[in-house]
Amino acid sequence: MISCASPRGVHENVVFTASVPCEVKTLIKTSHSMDKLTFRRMIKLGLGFLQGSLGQEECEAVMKQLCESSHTATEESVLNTCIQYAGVVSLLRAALRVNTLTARQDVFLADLTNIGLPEEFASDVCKVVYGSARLDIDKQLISTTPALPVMTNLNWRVEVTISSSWLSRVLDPVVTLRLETSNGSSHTFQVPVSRFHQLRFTVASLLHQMEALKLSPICKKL
Amino acid sequence: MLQITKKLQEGISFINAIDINKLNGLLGRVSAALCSGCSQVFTEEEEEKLSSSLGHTMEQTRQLVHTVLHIIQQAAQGMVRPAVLGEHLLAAGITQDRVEIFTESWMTNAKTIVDKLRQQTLSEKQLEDIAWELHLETASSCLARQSHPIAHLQLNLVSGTTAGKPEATEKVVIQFDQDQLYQLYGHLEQIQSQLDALR
Repeated sequence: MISCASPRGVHENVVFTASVPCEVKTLIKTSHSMDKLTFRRMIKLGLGFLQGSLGQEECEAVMKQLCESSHTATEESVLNTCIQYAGVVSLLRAALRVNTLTARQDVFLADLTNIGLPEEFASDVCKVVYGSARLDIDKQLISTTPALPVMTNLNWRVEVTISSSWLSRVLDPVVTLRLETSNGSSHTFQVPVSRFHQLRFTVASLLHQMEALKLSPICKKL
Repeated sequence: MLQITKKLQEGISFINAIDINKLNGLLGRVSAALCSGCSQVFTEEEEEKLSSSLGHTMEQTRQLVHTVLHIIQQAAQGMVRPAVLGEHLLAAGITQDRVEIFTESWMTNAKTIVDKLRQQTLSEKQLEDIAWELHLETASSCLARQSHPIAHLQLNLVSGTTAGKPEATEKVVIQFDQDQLYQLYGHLEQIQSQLDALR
């Protein structure tokens, strides 16, 4: 983290470690003339967008409402609102990345006010980052990280083959699985009993190892 | 067990005519092929060599090999005991000493052949092997410093085995976090309880 000296003393850049993006700078410049309710609504919209809970059309509808609510909708005022919203989203994105365990709330608040954000707005952002909804926000953020396809559905069938053209008495059970994954593909395959036992053992040992990993020192450090 | 057709009669006459040691070798070769699951016993070259050593034409050699193969396959189909096989072969017209060779070979190889045939299915994708990796996600563009264990499971699916060789292998890689892995485990436990109920 980059520390810099200022008239208020040495402080750490917690939120923006490298440099402050231009849309956030514009947001800060215009924030004095911005009304508190509008800022709160923008935060709500930004959160919905980042978590993926609001669809494209819903976002656009709320933006339209925001633009029309503040006095007359001239081209300049609409543009201003849009830039402010972009600033809010960037600010939220950077703020949510901050690890709440290592960064203290007062340091965070001090950093925001040092960038130039008014006190009330800074405390609003603080409430979002350190608030009670944080666990849910984290879960949703984790689900949007780059990932391999995930299993969405599993259908199965156990069959016993009585006889075949090769052997008149087979009487061996076979498991048929249909696996559907998040990228839309569906795989149907047969699992002979020996492989099924291997699969079951693999899954159980993976679960056991995950539990051990959670308790290990590496996880405690993070 | 054996349906006596004209072709089979011809094959049997070849068997009766062939030298006993050569018959032993032939039977061993056919049994080995069935044990490993491929239906092609001899390659072209080997068939030529066999023809010349027996003094037969290619046609006749093929028929001979096919007859021996057919006898063993029928024995497996009916899952007959060696003694019963011996009786059927005598009734079909094979000489006593050759019948003994057949029953001996069947006694040693029956179990392996039957086990191999039991695993054959009409071609559908089969799970051949499972590979896995355990990862710990520590940071991402959305969240700095997290600890989130993730498992990658790779399923090797083999589709269609003709003549003992797999036609196509597909590798499906799926990602699981802890909750999803528990869900999968739940499914597998249900299947296992069904399998146990069958016993």
